[in-house]
Amino acid sequence: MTQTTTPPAGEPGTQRRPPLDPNAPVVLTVEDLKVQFPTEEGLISAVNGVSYQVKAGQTLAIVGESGSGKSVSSMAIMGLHDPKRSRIGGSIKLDGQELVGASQAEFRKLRSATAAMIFQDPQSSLHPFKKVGAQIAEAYLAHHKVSKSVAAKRAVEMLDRVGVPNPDRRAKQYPFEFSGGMRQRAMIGLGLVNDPKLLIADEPTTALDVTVQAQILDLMNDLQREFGSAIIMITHDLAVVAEVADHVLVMYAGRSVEHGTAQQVLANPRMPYTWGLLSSVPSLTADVGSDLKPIPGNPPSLLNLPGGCSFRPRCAYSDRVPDNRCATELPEFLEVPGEPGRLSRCHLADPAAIFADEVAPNLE
Amino acid sequence: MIVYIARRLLLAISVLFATIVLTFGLFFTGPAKDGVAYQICGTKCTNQKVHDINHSLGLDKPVVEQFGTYVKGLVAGRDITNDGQVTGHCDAPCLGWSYVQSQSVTDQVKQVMPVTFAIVFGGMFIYIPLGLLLGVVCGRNRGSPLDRFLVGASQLISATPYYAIALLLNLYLIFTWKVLPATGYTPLTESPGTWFKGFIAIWVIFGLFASMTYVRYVRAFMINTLSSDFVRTARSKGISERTVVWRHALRATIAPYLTLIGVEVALQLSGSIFTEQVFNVRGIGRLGLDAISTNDLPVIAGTVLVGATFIVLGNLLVDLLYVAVDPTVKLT
Repeated sequence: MTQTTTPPAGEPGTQRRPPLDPNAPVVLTVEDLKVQFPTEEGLISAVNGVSYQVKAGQTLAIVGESGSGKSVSSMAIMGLHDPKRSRIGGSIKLDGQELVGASQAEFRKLRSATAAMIFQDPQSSLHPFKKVGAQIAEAYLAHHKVSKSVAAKRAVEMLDRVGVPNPDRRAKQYPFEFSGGMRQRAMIGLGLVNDPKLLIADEPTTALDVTVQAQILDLMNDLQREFGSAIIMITHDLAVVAEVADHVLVMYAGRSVEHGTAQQVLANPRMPYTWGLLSSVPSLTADVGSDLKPIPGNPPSLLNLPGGCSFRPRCAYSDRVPDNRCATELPEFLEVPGEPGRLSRCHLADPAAIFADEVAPNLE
Repeated sequence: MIVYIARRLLLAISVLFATIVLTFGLFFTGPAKDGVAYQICGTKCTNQKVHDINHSLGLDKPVVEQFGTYVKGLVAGRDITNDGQVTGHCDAPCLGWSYVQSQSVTDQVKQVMPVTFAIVFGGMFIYIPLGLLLGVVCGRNRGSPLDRFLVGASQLISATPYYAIALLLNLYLIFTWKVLPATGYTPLTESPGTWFKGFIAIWVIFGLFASMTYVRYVRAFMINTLSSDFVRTARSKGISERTVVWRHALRATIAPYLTLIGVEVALQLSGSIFTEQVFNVRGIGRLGLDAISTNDLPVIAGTVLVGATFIVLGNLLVDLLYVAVDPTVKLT
């Protein structure tokens, strides 16, 4: 796990973000989303009832480790799961259109046009044998009745807008002739070519050089201001969250465990898993040679999830909950009294106090 | 690019030279070298007779001298002598002089190559598209009844010896059911219609058999490619699944497929013995086979050298084609 900046806990600010517009139109509403994959060993429940909303011009960060369901839930929005090998339940409303149960033809119409996706590894996500400009133009052509040369011009224009120098020449080059950062810029250009209302970025900086990561995040912030798209930023990197997110959804084992504004979640997390994420961020100010603090254990198998709280086997605080409830009863995803939109899933009676007294002093 | 080709050709020449040394060495110094004499005098052979025959053919000269003559003939052509008398001339590239046919090996190869070329390149028109098409269909519909049937059938057919299948199909399709016309070789220049008719069954049966192997290869490539990141990107553009499969996934599958085919074609050119034998046409495979049974050493060495040349050139051609389909490969 690489970090772009100093740990975010000390500066939970979202200064780079404009103030939230409460009247911004809702672009995406996901309700009780379930994604399951039937396999020979049994049913894999990758996403177990996740709900969230994203508004125009705002960024929701979905945070979690590998296998938490963050990518799977977003791929469902794009209809990228093989219908034969997956079961999707709940509701996904994109720009007013219900997508659960939508046909591939319906998905085709909105992919790239209404919702676009940027993937983690720009090296493997662009076709190795096709010219970059042509790959961008293809997406434009899929949704506009224009000539090839108009689409090609549009592709060059997009490369220019995402900060690729010499876009005319670059458009005629192949992905292998681009550096990692330039490739990801091209990928973003491809994502925005049809001016989509929603952009899903699946760990867009993970495969990049640390110095390039910040540039890409800045670019995304700038483009969001320009295009006004809603963004879902999938990441496991809390530094990225601090940089770009308005809201944060923390996922664990296919469930949402914490939701709130970036400020709320980073400064006052209410769930031991989020505490673990914050504590595991390497610190620049800690003593040289001090150990990293990983969260002990591994995420549970999504095949036949155990009852109770999925995080319990790795949770250091479960013994503070009476009657062994963490093992027997799945905590509900409840709103924090007096804080609308602030939700968490934990049996602890006063997580805020535990965080303030025991966890926060050890951060930094 | 030109430097690359020149370098590769130079390399090819050295590979071929090694082939010459090896085949020459094996045949002309090994136990087979007296076989020629025995072939000629049969049961009446005495040591003296064998010696005389070897002498008249120049086989008693030092091996290095014989080799020198051979290589000179390849490069510049040479006179053929018998008992010191010049009995014929063999033009460059002289692959030797057949003991049995009293004819230059080069001419013999020239006579049979049209047959081999017709079999191999005609078969390509069947198995390349068929292997690709069925492979893509299987890879796309992995696990479907059609996929299972085709993969099972292809495994069964590939596991059965080719000559057995070819013989059976030959028997049933041509002689019993008369679905396909009988095979046989007529020079193209003589009568294109008859030429074509004589090859139809060969192309169909050989092509079908060869495509079975490629179906599984292409299927595996396809499955791999269809789950790759760039195909997911293509899908997320909102283009049709057909475009995703045939323009994006297939595009990446062509390069490895080509490599496979190129090597295979070169092998087939160097001798499709079974096809020729079963369908009763005489190509380079039969030429070599006949030469082995008559101990016709120069012909054996000649066909080996021609086969090696095809393989070397085939590999070079694959590399050049690879540049055309994969822009990330640069020849330097």
